[in-house]
Amino acid sequence: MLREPAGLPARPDYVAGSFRDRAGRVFEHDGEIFRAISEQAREEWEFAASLEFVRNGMQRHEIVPTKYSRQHAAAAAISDEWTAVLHHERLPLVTYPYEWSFSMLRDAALLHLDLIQRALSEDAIFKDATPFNIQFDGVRPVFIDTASIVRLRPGALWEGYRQFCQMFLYPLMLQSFRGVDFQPFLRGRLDGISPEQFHALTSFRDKFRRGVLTHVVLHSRLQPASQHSGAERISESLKESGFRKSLIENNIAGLTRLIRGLSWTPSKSRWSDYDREAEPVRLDAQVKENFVREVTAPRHWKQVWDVGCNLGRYSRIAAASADLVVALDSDHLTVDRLYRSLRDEGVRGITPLVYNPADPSPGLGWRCTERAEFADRGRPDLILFLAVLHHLVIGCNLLLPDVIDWLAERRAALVIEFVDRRDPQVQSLLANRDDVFPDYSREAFERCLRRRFTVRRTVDLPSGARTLFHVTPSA
Amino acid sequence: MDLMVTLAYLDPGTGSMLLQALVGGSAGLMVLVRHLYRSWKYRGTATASARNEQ
Repeated sequence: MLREPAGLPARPDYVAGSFRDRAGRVFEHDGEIFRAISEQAREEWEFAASLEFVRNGMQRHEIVPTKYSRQHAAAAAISDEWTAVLHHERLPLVTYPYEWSFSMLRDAALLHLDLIQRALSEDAIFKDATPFNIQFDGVRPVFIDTASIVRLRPGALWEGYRQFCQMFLYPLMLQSFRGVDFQPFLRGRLDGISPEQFHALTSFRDKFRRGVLTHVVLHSRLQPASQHSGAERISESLKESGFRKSLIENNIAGLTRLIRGLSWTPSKSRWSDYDREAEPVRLDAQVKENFVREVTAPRHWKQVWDVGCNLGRYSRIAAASADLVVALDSDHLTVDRLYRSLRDEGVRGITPLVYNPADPSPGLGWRCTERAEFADRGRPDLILFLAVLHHLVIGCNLLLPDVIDWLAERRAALVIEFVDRRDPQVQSLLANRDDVFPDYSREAFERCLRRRFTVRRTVDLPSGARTLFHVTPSA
Repeated sequence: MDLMVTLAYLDPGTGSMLLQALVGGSAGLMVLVRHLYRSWKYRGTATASARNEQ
């Protein structure tokens, strides 16, 4: 639902990551999302808005609902570069591909390919092919960069092909073929994995897998061989040699088949069977569920973070009373399984993400602000922090008071579980290392907690060494 | 020209351009062959003119 504000600012704060495409810039005002666009982008938008796939995509929520802002006059007042302002529906949370699981990136890729195929049938194309143009509404991918839909000129190539390979295809192949997590690669280089880099990462056997010879091996060889030829001359020559739309359609169809064939289904990871195998978890599950339900049910929450969500047992409970639950876990396989089950069950309102509080997504790109750090994008009003603290303090060597301070800075209500030293999980964390954590005790924990929060309720769990606390930030 | 500049803000990569013909199926292969022939002919003409200028 688009809510038109009374006016637009003369000097908007543009979104830090919106500058590469000179045809428009995104800004936020009064909680709504706008895009100031140039005359040329306005003409392209007139064209895009008339296309059937765009109208259908917006109705089906595959493309973010967008319309002209009624305050056209404001565009010129902002800058003489702009002639119109578009108004986009706001999505509840901005996430980045290096926070997604394999299936999320795969679904985003398939949505993008599907949209390109539909665009081609109406003689349109997308300027680029980056997963940063896709966001998740719950578990549904939504294309957000409506300004990148443009007319396809006769004989033109798909300009986003290389970017698609670097940002979608190679990360998915890396995960599928090698079992190597793609997130650190996308986080480490915002342009993705180059053909040359990915070629070097493939094994001899991988070279014979479907699509590798062309999209990887030849791609990596052709680039250095042709880089002195001049892009404009090659593009013109290919056009004159008969390049046409059907070749792009064939490529998109081939990439769709290729990506549909990629899978990543390891039998288990360190945390994937935690819910079933860990004794205290099974003993305490019912009491914890009731506790979470009693905290979440009495009111409505805008955004809940379930840190260390595992298979999402408590995320699902919180989702009944929340606009959005962000289910966070550092274990990629666990997050991927949760995403697939939520998607297949049609559950809305939960977005799972790969996230490690001890190594969170930082600010990246130009001035380290082009991609914002995770904590700056989410605004939780409730955090579930169940059976996580001991991993951060003992497993990751974080300081107990620091973790409590970080939680307090979120200014959210908190359900936190303290796991005592007697617990088998803590015992196993301490088994192969020196116990250098004299401050890890219930007394020290409560002292830190009460300094920043007001304790509303506590419950000792049946396993005997765990306690739940419901606390709210102190004024 | 402005339109060209804007559409080309993303460098498509020259190698990627050639590959797009190759992955377009048999029709694409023909396009690539014609392109290579044109490039060879262009190079031959360019070399001949350079020789004449000397």
